[in-house]
Amino acid sequence: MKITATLFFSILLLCSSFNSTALQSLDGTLDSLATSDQENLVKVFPYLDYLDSFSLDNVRELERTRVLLDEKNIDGGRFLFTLFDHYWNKQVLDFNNVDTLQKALRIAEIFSVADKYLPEDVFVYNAVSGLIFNAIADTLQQLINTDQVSVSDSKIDHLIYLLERHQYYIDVRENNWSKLWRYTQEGRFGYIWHKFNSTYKKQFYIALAIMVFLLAGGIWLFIRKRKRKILLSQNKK
Amino acid sequence: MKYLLLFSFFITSNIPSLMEIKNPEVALSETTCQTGFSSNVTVKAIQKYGRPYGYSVWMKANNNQLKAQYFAQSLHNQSVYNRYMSWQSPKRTIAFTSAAYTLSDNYTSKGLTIENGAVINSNFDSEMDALVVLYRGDILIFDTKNPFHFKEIGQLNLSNGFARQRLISWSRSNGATVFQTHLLVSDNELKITTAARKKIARRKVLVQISKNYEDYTIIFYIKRGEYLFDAAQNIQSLLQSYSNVTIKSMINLDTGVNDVLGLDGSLSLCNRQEVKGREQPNLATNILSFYYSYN
Repeated sequence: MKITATLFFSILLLCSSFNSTALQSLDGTLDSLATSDQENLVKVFPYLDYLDSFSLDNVRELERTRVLLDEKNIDGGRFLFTLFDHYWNKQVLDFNNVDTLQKALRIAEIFSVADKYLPEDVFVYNAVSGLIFNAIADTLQQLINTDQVSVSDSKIDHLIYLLERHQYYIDVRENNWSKLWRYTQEGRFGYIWHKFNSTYKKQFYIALAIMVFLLAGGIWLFIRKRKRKILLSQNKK
Repeated sequence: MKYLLLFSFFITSNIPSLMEIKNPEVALSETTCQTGFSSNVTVKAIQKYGRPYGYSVWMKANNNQLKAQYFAQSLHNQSVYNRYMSWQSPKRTIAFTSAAYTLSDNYTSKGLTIENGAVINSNFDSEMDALVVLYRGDILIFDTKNPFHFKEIGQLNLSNGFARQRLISWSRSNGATVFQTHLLVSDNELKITTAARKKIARRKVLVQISKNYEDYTIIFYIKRGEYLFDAAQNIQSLLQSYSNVTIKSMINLDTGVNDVLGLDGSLSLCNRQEVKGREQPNLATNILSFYYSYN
């Protein structure tokens, strides 16, 4: 089901209009840089100027670019990856706008199964897919750690689910009570006792002392009240 | 008179450990308890200022004969420990221990995890700076904060996603095992700071050293509660108090709820006590084990 949906989106992307102007502009830029050695060209290419002229979710266009570069003895795969790397460095991952992130995850999903719809297994699409998944997972992990997003938010929970579906697991912190419940179910009584002894023993004794103090105070007040009542009734008599 | 006798008893009972401290800055000392596996493995008790602190298991690692095997998760309803037991039955393993940290909700290892080519967690954790690669049984430790050379792939800079994908792709096609943890010492240099003085807990570390031109892989288990920084610093000072020692790497191993450790039945502590972690091995969420292969 997952693969079918991804393939459907892939076909949509493959069928989207091909921007030949962008490819011509790339060709022109490459020619102007032709004096540089081919390996260095991938490093010196003006990626940022080039980002706006290409739609990065158009696999057909990207694949034609890669082939064109390979024909020119330039590492097309590394070129595309660097292009995406620049693109992602420019992005601010806004977790208040989860829809944009889900769109990015969909592109990552499509790229992760590129071998299913491209004639050959092209490494760069897996790498780009990893780049997107990792960037989102890493940022989300930091936001969870600093309590800037809540995992009880259904949209965040869905993002975590999408990431886990692609084996990108992040640490969703549990509260102490649910941990205690889980450890009890798993029979980790040794650890529960150790944790209690090392962390909560002091707090437990303080709480116990307060309870004993309050109870003793309550009893004392009760006895005092009762005694006063008896005295009052005796005085009346 | 009574106090004088007590004082003299205290002094005499601590003479061996006091004598072992060569450097006054070295708080730790070791006492050899037992050797096994044709004198290739040594179990030592560790004292801190003469008081019991933990123990260490020294495994000679010359000529690539020391091998490691890692079990990252339970599979086909078989627990990690059962998988380990089925695998080790024809072999004689020296030790097994919990290794990578585990995520709190689903018992998957934290950070990039690959077991024999099967990807378990693709999420590379940039906070964890030790990358452990097990390939053909050899255990290799890399510092991910700096570019490093891995002879099977070449130069890798894991802050770059392309390099990370190259590593994953290579591991998948070569059946390698990969996991992440924290790097404590690399090339004799302490990699953590006092900022790691957050929590006092039991500590367990894996160290690769070269001593008098012999390679050793050592598991240190600090039973007494300690900050990670102090444990790493104490162990580093202890090892550097020996002559001709180079600490290649020291990495942190998981304790806490997954504090699992076990040794071959022939190895025990000085008082014949069994070497073990606090938790039952059948509850282990991952296991790293060591054995010798003389092929």
